[in-house]
Amino acid sequence: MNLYGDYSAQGFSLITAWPVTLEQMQTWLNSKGYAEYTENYYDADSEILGIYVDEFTGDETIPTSYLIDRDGNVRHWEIGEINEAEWAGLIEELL
Amino acid sequence: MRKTLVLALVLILAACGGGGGSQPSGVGLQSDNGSASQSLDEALAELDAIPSPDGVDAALFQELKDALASQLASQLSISADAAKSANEPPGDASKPYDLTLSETGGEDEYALTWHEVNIGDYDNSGSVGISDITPLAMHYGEYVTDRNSQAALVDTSGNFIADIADITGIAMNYGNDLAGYNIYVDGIPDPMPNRDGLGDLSVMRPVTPGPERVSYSYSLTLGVMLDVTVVAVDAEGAEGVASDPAIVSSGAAPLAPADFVVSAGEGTGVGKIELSWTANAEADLLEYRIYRRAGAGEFDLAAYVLPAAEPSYVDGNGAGLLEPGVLYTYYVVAVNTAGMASDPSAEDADTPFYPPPPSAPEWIEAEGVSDGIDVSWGAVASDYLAGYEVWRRGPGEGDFSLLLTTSDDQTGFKDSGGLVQGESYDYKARALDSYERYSDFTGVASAAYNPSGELAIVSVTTDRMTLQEGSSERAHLTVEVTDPGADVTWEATDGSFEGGNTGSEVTFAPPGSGGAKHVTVTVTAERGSDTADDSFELIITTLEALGPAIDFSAPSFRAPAEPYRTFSYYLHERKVMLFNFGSIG
Repeated sequence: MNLYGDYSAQGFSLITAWPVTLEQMQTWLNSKGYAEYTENYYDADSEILGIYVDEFTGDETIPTSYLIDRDGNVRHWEIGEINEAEWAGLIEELL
Repeated sequence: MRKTLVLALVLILAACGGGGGSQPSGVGLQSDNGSASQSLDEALAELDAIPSPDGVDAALFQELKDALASQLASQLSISADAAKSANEPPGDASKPYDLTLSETGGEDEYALTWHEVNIGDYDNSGSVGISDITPLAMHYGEYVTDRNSQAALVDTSGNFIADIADITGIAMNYGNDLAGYNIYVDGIPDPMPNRDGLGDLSVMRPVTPGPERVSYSYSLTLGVMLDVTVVAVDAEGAEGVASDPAIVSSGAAPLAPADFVVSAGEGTGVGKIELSWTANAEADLLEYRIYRRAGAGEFDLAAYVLPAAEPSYVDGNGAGLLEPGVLYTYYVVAVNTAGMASDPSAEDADTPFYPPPPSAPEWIEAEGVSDGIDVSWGAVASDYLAGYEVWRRGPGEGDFSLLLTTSDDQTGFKDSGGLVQGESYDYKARALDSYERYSDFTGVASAAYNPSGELAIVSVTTDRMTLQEGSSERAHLTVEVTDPGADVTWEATDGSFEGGNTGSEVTFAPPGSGGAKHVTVTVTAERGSDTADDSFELIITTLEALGPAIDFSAPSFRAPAEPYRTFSYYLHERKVMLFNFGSIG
């Protein structure tokens, strides 16, 4: 399963904010075949992570993933590696 | 103003010299330039062939060429009728303005100094011809602050700007040339000798004078002095008009101008500051020089002013209006014909007057009609109103773009360009004053283009697409119909409409249960037997809204340099997003 490839045509995209350089992020995402479906922010000092921790999770553990609907509302978040099959169902519910 | 010493001429000793540090040469016409012996056809052919200088707008250069051609056609035909000689020396208007005798410190020794005036000789070649159009083009629009600068050579109309009026200087003096000057002392029939042996004239014109006005100096040893004059001489040895007698320098710099004040206000004019001071009394006064500082900047020479009984200067007249809101500080310096400058006057400062910018039109309306969309707006009352701008946003366009600029008395127009049947267009307007300042925009007026009168749904909008079942989340739905008077009814495959399902605006409530699904909403407009409808889908989810995603901006793969792309850029795309914080490895 490739969430990004499977659902991108229906209006799904992946956004990342990682504390690694844009080049490093792209190299890694390219190796996974994700790059064309993504936008990648450089969160140098984890400031963006901090904003979302304060608002939603209260936990700075990464990875953390948020599911955002078409209106810009967060509908789900999860700390740790995601279960792609489970998230596919959540994504389909919002598409 | 001019003083003549009456002393006996004892001896004339020495030396002559041309300005710019160059050496005089033998008499010779600078033959690369014009000549009145040229026929009109030859002159026009030469003019036609001259290329536009680098950096000069080709249209401007052609305009100058056309103007010169027109004036030459008139002037050369007159010259031919009057049997004008082939190459004449500069005439009465080209008499030096600063011929001065100054004591040198040696016994009975004086320096005779002056600057060359040869109207029309813009390229400083010594003769007036076609090629003089090139420096005019290159300095076109330049404001003259120093009368000995290259720009000043071009400004022979005396309006302190190199402009189209200066074409006349070439045409009226076409063919004039200047090989040098003869110096005469009253009572002595022959001109003063050339001591360099390089020519027959008292002073020869430098061969390579440089770009600025040529200056001359000739030393005289005088016991008793009579009037000293200079006469321009052309390459054929013909003399022109004698100058006025030399001014005898006082040997001291002028006093600093007194009572210097600046003022600004509506009476002075928009974007202007008036300067005035008490006239200096020195007999050898040549000019005043105005120095100006904008804000905390450096002082620069802004203008020169000729002596007058009540000297004054209005800044902002020639070189363009002064900037609004900027404090301008000035001082003035008096300069005599020997080039000696006074101490600066006191400084004074003011800010130029500007009226407030125009207010925004109070209203704007748009109405679809059979041949377009009529747009009108409220007139703005302002003495300085220049017109209005109307901006339009078409279907699918994110931003407004400028549609047209009207005159100040036009408050409406019919938009009929490129409109698509059944589509809606947004309009807004703003006022513009004569100083290129804008009002705020009006609100937005919208109208559909529907020339056939057909009933149609123009647009359907919702403020949200996703709602949780059984929640308090609501979607506010709006429809625009080509006929605002049509009856509108809403239907949905699930959920309900709070407050009813009719009208152009309704509120949708999600179903209480049933799980995730898509609800199809259909809107129908009716006008008699005419109907039109449209439909779209809303998303019903079981997932609770935990809060809006928070916007930010940072370097990203698609916008690594400023301006960075914000997160809201993607939120506005209305996609479902997985937003991940993580790290490699």
